[in-house]
Amino acid sequence: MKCSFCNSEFTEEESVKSCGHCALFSGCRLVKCPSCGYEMPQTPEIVKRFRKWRTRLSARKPSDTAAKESTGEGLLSDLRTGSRAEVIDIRTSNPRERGKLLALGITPGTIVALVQRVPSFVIRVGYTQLALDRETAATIVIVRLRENPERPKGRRLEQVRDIADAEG
Amino acid sequence: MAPFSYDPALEQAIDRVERYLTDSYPLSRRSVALLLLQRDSEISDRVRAAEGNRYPAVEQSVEMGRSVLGLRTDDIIAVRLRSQAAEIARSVTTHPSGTRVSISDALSRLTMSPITGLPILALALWFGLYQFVGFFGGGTLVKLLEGGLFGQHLNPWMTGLITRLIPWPWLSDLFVGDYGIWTLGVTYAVALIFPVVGTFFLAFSVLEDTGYFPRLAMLIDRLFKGIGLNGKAVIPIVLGFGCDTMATIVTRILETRRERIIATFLLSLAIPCSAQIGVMTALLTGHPAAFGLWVGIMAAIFLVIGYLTARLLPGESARFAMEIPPLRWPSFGNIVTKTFARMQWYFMEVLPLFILASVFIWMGRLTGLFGLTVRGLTPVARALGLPDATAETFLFGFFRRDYGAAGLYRMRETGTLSGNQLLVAVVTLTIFLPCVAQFLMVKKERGLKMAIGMAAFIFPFAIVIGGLLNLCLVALKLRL
Repeated sequence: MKCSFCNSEFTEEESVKSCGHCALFSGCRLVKCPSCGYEMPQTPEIVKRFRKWRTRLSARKPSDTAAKESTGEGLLSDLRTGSRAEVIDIRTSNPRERGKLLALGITPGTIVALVQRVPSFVIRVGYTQLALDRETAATIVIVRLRENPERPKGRRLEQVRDIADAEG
Repeated sequence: MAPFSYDPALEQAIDRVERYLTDSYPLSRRSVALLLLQRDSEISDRVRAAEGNRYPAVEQSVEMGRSVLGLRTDDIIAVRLRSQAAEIARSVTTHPSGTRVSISDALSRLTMSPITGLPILALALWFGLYQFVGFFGGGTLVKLLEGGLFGQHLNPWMTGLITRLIPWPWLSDLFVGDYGIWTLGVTYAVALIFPVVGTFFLAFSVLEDTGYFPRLAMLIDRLFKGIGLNGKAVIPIVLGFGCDTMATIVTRILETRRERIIATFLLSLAIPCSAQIGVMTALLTGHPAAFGLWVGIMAAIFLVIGYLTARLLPGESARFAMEIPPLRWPSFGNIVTKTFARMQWYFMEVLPLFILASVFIWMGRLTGLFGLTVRGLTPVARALGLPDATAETFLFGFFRRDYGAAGLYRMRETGTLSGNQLLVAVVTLTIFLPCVAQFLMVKKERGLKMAIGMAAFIFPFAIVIGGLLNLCLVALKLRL
């Protein structure tokens, strides 16, 4: 945690030590900064949980650095809405899953376009649209294709991002 | 001669396997060899049975083929088939140039985005289910048929005819008594069930024909993962609102045994069929708060029990991958055919059951068994804070939930039930098994042990929930 007065960073144990012989030791809800002695209220448990949850959620979002690369190997679940990719492999230990995806037309060499990510992944393969859950999308290994610069990335992309933000 | 060939290594493997096949099969040997190389379990079993002690040699040739080709056997076949199909398609089709966005494309996107998709779903439910099935089918049409046609014309005429033909009241009761074959069975099936189920299946067929259900599956997949199912299960669940028996058969489309069990259980427990929705809605009209509570309680039971069942049964939710067909205008012919076929099926199943129930009740009343069972159930009714007469409705409820509820309807009209009592009775009956036919279908699809197990949970659970609900209403001093 960070002292709100002197900005120095310290851990919980360090602050407990700095409480010394205070009589209110275990009962009080204040944290004492070990470097400047300023006392501030503890972060409530619920706020901590909320922060943890937020960081977890933002970690789940596709990382921007990965998405900005126009080419390179990755998973379908990390693809950006509106971009296209070539399927190279289906990585699953379940032969039935594999068979199902192959039968739906997701074969190595196929070009797919990601239509949307929320609430399920929707991809376009030729004239066919398929809906997949995130777990299935994460088994499909792809190579990103350079995006066509003339194609405007209209409002839909923004919309989907807004949803992701609202959830985060 | 095969119409096209695979790559040489695979062709060699096919040849080798073919040479070991001696029996004759309904498919060509080449197809059998291809399926064996893809490890198709059904064909493997067939070949094992047909080839007998020559099977190990076949198996060995398959193994050899797979070891040469590696794990890619399935890929090679899928890719080749696809390119061949594309080749054929290219030679006979032309593609429109340009990237014009059509209305159906735009609409399709709207139904799939969560922001617009959920309101569209709510609209579809409101107009399709509540307005059309609930009000038009369950209200207007039922009033016309039951109150008008049967109540004023057919039933008095039939009663007159039968009592003239059969002078003994104990026998004429079988046909036109309170629980007679005509006055209860046929009247109920034709005047009450027919319009409600008919309008439901009409609405269902329209939605089905537009291609809306795969979109619904996609929207709801995440929620269903929480109860151990995946988006695909919306089809049996939604169909369950029409007829639980039919929906129990449709659980076959689910891929794993675990999903089928969960879906069957939830259908038996928490999904009222359209006939039941019709009767229960009619029972609760004039008590909007009770109606809201009923919907809320059933939704909560569906989700909570689904969640717990999923925790209890080992295994993972199956993955979701489904094709989303383009949205289309429903075709009139399709809708009529499907609605008609479903209604016919339903009718053939329900009518004999109603007649049988009437006969059973008649025999029970003659022998006094009926009264005995009702007396046995009276303490249960009392425990739920209900008048003694409701014990009878519970007995009917074992046949069909709505059959029981129809008995409540009469009591409601005489004003013997308060809003609270109506809600408790309706919730308890909704949790009961849907009907005898559905129970038999569960037995057929999931086995006797599973069917009995489900019934053994559901009936006590219904009574416990009804009792708890009554206690809550009393404790909170709520008057609905």
